[in-house]
Amino acid sequence: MSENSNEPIELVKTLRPYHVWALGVGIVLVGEYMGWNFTVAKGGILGSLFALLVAGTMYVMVSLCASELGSSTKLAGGPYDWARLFVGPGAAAIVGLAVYMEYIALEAADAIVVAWIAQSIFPEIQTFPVTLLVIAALTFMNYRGVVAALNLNFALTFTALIAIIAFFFMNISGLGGTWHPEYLISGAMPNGFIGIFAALQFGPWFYLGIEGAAMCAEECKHPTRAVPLGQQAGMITLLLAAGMTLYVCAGLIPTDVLGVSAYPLYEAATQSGVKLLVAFLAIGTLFTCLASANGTVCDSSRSWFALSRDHFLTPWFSAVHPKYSTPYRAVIFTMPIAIAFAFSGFLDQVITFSITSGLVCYVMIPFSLIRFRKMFPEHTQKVRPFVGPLQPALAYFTIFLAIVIMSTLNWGYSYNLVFGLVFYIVSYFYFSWRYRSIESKHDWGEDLGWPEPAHRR
Amino acid sequence: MVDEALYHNKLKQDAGVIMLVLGLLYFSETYIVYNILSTLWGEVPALGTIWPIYIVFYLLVIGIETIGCVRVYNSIKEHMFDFEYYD
Repeated sequence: MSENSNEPIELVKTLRPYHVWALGVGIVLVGEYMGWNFTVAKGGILGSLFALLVAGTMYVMVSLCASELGSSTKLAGGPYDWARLFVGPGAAAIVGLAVYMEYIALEAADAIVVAWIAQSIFPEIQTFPVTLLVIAALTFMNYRGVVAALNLNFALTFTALIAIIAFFFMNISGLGGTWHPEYLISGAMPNGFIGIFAALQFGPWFYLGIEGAAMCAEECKHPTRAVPLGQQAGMITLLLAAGMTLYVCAGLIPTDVLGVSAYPLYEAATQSGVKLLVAFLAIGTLFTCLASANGTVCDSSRSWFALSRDHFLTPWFSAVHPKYSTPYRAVIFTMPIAIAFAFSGFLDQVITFSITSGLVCYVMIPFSLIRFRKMFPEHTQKVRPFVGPLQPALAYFTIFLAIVIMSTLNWGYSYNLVFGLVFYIVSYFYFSWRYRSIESKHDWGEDLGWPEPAHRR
Repeated sequence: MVDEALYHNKLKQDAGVIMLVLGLLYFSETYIVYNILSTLWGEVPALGTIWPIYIVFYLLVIGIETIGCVRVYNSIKEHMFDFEYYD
């Protein structure tokens, strides 16, 4: 499908497992610094712990599905390419769009938060030019090269992660403020059992976007090692960070304040009274926003690039830079869309649309794996170098949990949920009608070096 | 010609990283879940009804992640010479 383009489309293969880790964790770690605390507003501390564990279970399974699919296909589109290969063009289009929307909305949110932080430090500056500057600078980084962009991500993410770990261990050893059990007791479950269940809608904040780690598979030196290792290390990192964040914040901030806080970790550090922690968590908040925005530029541009390469969009976007080997047109095109999201003025609605988009992916990724296992049941080195455990049972369970979490958006965000689902259903039928010939023309041997699927032999 | 000693050494490093982060995960998740539930035990009567759900999902997170990591290690060990991971 890509041979119609006159320009070279090879991406440079230099990334290692720690780059995969940095891409995945870099996008998501911002969720520990802000946003997750809305689970507390809905369901108290018990609701937040429930959301952390249930969403954590779903994401562990999603990351295992992504590891198997990513290391097998080794393509830049990630979930989009898996749906295109194993489900069909309609599913591919909605997954490609969902990934794009999920990450672009996150990029816009991150850039605005960076601008807010800058304004809180220097009250005389305005957020508008800072937001523009952040988006432009990170787009330029990704334009110049994926290695430079992800090396930056690694440094920013690592610093932000160390800040959380240091805070946790200082707190439990008594050096990072006094942990108040009474805060937990007074705000354990303010809205009863319904509140605990409703808290699930913000559970994805702890881990939203970790599946993006597998999207740099096409640019990995050894994707069959880098993707599973980097993806699983990233998932464990997020589980660690999520638990530590909940613990320290729950014991340092009263739940009625915690549920509405804009920067809960920073606020918890302030409550601890330790100046070193306050400075460390302020830097961590800034760095994690930059890392997240940087990672989302990388992933959203790869999704756009993949959609373009397969003619869902104009092939013009699938050009690769002759010097930097990046999909530079797709990278540059993230900028106007992110700016449009950033200045829409309805960020909470945009972010909820991002969560809905993510949950659409979490239904489609395991479904792609189920189809992959049926079409290619053999565990050969060429087709499936990494064999995920307990499949397809885990894939079915992932779909079940994603639908349950999606249904909880009905409490407070029913219009967003309906609008998001209608958008993706219409997209599905439109692209299925327009590209119904793609699947029948697909050549497995030429494109991936694989044998024909089981049902065609 | 592949340097087998180097490969086994690098594989041990990969295994070390996996063991380290898994160990941290066991400690932190157990510490956090135990402390939150034990703090609220007796103070929140409803917890007496729903605590098994927390334990089930805690075991699911830890268990599935552990099995996944073992699979990653086995996959690297199986393919490291064929794909020349450490050259």
